Amino acid sequence: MFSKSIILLLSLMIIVSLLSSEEVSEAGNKLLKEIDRNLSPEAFESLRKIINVEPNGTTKDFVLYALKKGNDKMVTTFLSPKSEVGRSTLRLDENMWLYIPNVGKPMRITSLQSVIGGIFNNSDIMQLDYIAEYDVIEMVDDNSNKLLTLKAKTHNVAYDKLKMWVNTKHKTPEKIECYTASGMLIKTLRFKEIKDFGYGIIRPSVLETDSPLHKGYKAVMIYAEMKPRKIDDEVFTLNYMSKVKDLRN
Amino acid sequence: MRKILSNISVSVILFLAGLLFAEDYSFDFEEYQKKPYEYVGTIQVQSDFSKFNHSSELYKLSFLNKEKKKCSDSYLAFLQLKGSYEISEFKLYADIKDQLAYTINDEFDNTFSIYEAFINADISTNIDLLVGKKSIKWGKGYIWNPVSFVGRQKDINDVDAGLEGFWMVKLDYVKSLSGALQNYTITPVIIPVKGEINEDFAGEDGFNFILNNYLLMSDTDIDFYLFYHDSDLRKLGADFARNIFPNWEIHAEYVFEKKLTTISWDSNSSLESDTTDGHHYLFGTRILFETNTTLIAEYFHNDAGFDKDQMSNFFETIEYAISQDPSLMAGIKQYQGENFNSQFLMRDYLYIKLSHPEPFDILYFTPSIFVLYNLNDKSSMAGGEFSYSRFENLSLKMKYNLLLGVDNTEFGEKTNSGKLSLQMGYTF
Repeated sequence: MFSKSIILLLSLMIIVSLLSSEEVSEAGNKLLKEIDRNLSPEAFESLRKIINVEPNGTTKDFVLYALKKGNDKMVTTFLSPKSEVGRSTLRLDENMWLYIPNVGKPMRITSLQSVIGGIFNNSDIMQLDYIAEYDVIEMVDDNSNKLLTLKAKTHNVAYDKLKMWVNTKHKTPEKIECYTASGMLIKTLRFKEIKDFGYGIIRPSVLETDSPLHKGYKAVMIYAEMKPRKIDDEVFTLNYMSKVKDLRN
Repeated sequence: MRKILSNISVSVILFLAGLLFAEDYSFDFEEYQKKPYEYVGTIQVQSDFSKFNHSSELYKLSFLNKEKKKCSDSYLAFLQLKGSYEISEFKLYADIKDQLAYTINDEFDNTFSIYEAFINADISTNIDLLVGKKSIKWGKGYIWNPVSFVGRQKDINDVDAGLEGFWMVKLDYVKSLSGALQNYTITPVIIPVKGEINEDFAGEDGFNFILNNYLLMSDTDIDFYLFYHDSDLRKLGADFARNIFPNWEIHAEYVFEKKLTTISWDSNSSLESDTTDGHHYLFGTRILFETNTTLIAEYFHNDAGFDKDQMSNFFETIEYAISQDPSLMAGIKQYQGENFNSQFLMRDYLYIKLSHPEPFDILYFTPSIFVLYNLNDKSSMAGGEFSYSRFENLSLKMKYNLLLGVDNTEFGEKTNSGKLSLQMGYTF
């Protein structure tokens, strides 16, 4: 009789914890969707500067023009420095191609590589909606923030697990720690300087990153402009990679 | 009073410290708004230092009756200007290059080339029409692209270098879809050959009609190609590329070529010609390891190449001409000029390249090593490259190639046994 009660109690506990974890996951994913929409509209164009900072303080700057549509389409092209102008990267879901004007044809690359060198890899620069790649598996209060733990939906993404501290006022990330499948911290992203970009877009305008694997090195991404834009699907094809910069208004 | 001064001093120090350490994240994005015109220029200088291979037949042929030198140095500089101007849906584009070379014969050689000059009309997001001179590169291979029906051969010493185009009319129709077929593109190209127009595209006058059909299907790039000269089907081909894992890409190319003619020397030092249908193919892979090292490996077969005996016969003919029958010399030199232009002279090769960007946290520095192994005669070309792009718009490269092989082999009979190249480019 006693053992039957214990089994019943344990089963009840498991069911309750499963139900509550499902509730957490549902609420967490709902919050993650809101975060995605606050970070960018469904379809937009943006202008960004990336600065690689070395331990001795020397820097190298890049200016990028980016277009994104839906959950799975993004294309970027360099506008500066002159030596990089026209170098474009296209992402369609997990497929990624690099086009270098001199080389003259797109070639497949991976999200783990970096087209600019430094700490930002292609996945950081070509970030799709988080909800497209991750599920929230845990959501806890952390001081005034929410702390979400995100698990990759597939093995095809750059980071297996993310810990995301969310600014509850603006519902945007404040800090994201990126982990490998073995649990090693490989990168920390810090979102700073909330800015009103117009069109209802209020989000951090500065993204800083550093990595314990490259001590003393830092990279910064600054968003100068972001606005919604109607974009044809054909813009996200290999044929268009050589003329992405012509799409600026 | 002293306290006030002290407070002011502290405030000034804090203000200055703030100025010094504040992170300035502002930038003038107006500067990057679209303009109707664009331009980019490149100046590049290059020095090559070669060590001669005195025992090679090609060295003996090139330096017959000349003073034997141990080494040679050559220098070149070029200026390349690219510019475009946009008027409504039309874009005018030009790419010109002027190259000045100081050769091993102590001569200056100036070459001016129009790499590209075309007008492009964006009729709609789906349709694009181009008329003029344009460089097009097709194919998935890194070192060789047999499907590149409308482009020139890559330079195996600089596979990423820009190439001169051909005069053409090209139309692109592109369509995105949802489902397994994610998008497709149809690209018909017409390349006329008449007199001096596109004279190096094909040996005979006429119209060349080339068709490329690209599909992105189930995350795989697939292309089909057709090549007609007037109404004769000359070549057909296909290629594909796909990531089987996020860090592991595979690719292949195949071409069937009709009436492929090979002219070679037989064992009696006479020329013989053979015309037959041929097959060219390539299999390759690109893997990014956890260590951030990238491996590129490719095997390729070129039916237009010589077999081991044909190559050996050629070198034996040179030896025979030098030692016994100088009357053959003019014919050999003409033959070499007409048939030794290909980057790959023989049939089967294996290419392996390893590159590792930013070792020891040295940003913008990429060392790489490669080997091109001739599977027919067991000769090879191996080498290394260091590239550095730390300084804005400035690129630095150092390359070293070593040519290895015994007598009567492709790389063993090259004029040089090794070459060091230093390259500096500035973009403005």
